Amino acid sequence: MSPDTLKSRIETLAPGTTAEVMDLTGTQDHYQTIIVSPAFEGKMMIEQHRMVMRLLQVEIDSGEVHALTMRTFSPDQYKKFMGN
Amino acid sequence: MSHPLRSKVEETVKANPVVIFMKGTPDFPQCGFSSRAVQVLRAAGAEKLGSVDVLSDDPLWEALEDYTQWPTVPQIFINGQFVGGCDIVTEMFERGELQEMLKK
Repeated sequence: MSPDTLKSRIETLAPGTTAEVMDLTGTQDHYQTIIVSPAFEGKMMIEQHRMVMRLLQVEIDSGEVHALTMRTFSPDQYKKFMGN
Repeated sequence: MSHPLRSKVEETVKANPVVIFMKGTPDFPQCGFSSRAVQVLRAAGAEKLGSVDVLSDDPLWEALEDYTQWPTVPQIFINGQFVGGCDIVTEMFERGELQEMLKK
């Protein structure tokens, strides 16, 4: 899956979701992502990760996405992380 | 139908404030991710660290996988609640959230 396709897929999670996607190996199946979404508000990190994994279940099961690491933030968490 | 060892999992995760299911033991980890998770928990101030070596207890590992629906080792519980694996506790540590959680 191309980085752009993955980014678009992740951004369907909820309105206002933004994702940054890095292809770690150049093989379009090992990705590192940063995801900021209003849907993550008030959720534990494990739940935030599960939401993304559920969204991409088919692609993960098929091996199209073989490895996915993610850093997830609600908009507030991201502001705090960026230090303002 | 729930796994026959489910109650044993529930008992185990509540036996200590922090419990890690890992490969090996905290002092002799047998996997880099398990080792890193232990280091992070200790750095965050975890004192009483309960641990289960999944390499030596297959049935319990299967029951755990069924309980958390999480496919990888290590798995960390704080105050009986499933928190995540190595990546998640590391990220929570970097944000200071793990330290906060361990104070409670």
